[in-house]
Amino acid sequence: MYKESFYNVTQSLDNGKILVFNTFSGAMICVSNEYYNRYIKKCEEYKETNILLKQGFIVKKEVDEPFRVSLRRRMFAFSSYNEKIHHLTVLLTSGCNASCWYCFEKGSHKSSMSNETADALIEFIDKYGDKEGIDINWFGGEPTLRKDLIFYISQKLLDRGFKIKCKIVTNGYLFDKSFMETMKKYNLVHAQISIDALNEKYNLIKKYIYKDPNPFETIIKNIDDAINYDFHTSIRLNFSDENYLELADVIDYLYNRYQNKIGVYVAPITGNNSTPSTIKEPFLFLIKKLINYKYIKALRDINLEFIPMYCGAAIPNNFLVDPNGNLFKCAEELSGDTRKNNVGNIFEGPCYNNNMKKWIDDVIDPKCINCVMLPLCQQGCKGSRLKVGGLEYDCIPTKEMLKETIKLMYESKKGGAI
Amino acid sequence: MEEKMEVIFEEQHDVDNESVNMCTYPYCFECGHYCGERR
Repeated sequence: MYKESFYNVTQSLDNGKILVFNTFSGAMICVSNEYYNRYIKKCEEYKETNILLKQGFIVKKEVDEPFRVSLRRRMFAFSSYNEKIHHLTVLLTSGCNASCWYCFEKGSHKSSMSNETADALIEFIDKYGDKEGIDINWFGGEPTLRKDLIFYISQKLLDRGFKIKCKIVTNGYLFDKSFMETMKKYNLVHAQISIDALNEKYNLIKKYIYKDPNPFETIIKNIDDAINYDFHTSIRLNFSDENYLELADVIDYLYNRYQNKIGVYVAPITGNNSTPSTIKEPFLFLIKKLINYKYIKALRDINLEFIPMYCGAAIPNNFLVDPNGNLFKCAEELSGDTRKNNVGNIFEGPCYNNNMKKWIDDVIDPKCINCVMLPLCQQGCKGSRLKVGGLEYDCIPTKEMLKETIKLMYESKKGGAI
Repeated sequence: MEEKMEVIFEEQHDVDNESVNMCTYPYCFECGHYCGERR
């Protein structure tokens, strides 16, 4: 009456035991070979059968597991359909004070939000936003180039009775004390700052427009202040197979200076011919480092957690606003000719056009429906899939290194450095 | 055979019933995750 779950992944350990991880339930157990063969593979009745069932390692024979996963996906996608907007990403400018070579917005038309558009945005939020709680993500370009509008829009929303919470994705250069002081009033809860190298190398990558002999020092001072102001700060390290060894030094530096008062995570640079297989070794190398410093503690920190959907952009009422007031589903759609990608604008409201349909359609590719990774990736990033036009590239790197990461998390849980 | 499993991580949700919350695009205010972290 039971069968082994399709979503079980096994990994042999040096002590002869087997690690079993279920990508849907997220449970992980360590058992002997015999235990695995008898009670999980052959599903012999045992005193722990009910626990194995609850943990998802075995399922009732008639259960269609991919259907169960896709049902969760549909439930999630449409649960917020008729609700007000809770999350909004706002690009105040597509201009930047740095010019990183890997920027995905490189080549996009540069524009900055006008005061009239800012007023229209306030009206748009007033009409479509949830007064009881709206999260605003200040994004760019470099959003701190338009601090004036961040303050203006935030204050107007407070005046109209909105409960706001916001975060900012910034390079950190203008994220200074006076800005932080003001942003406390507007409930800034989080800042994300990218650091891709130390000192001179960092300065060379960023190529700031300022005549500052050491912008790196400015950024670090600003991060020091952000900690003092109690803003949760995440440092993003963009890596490729070429720079990952240098990033190890950055992680050492950050840990020595801040310990776990900040968050640190790594993200592969996309669009530079890298593939999941070329970044596998660098990724594992950096992950081990982050586990040892406890920047990665839980399965969710390493993409080993069930998600009903990869990204909220595929939810009907989730939008990004560009400096001209156009609505988009994702920042990936901002490069090149963006006119065909919009899903309405703040002046007339959201538009249920073909682009919206492209994002909201809930079709799972046959290649994905029978993949053990589906509960962890839900087909990956829709933005890059639509851009690249294929699925293969978009498989999340975890797929290539699933067994290794499971083992790393096991070793980390058992204690000791890895 | 009196063999027991060693639980390393408990299941993260009820596989049959519970509705699931997730990190939302492009940043989840509840748990602090970014879409970039999933790549």
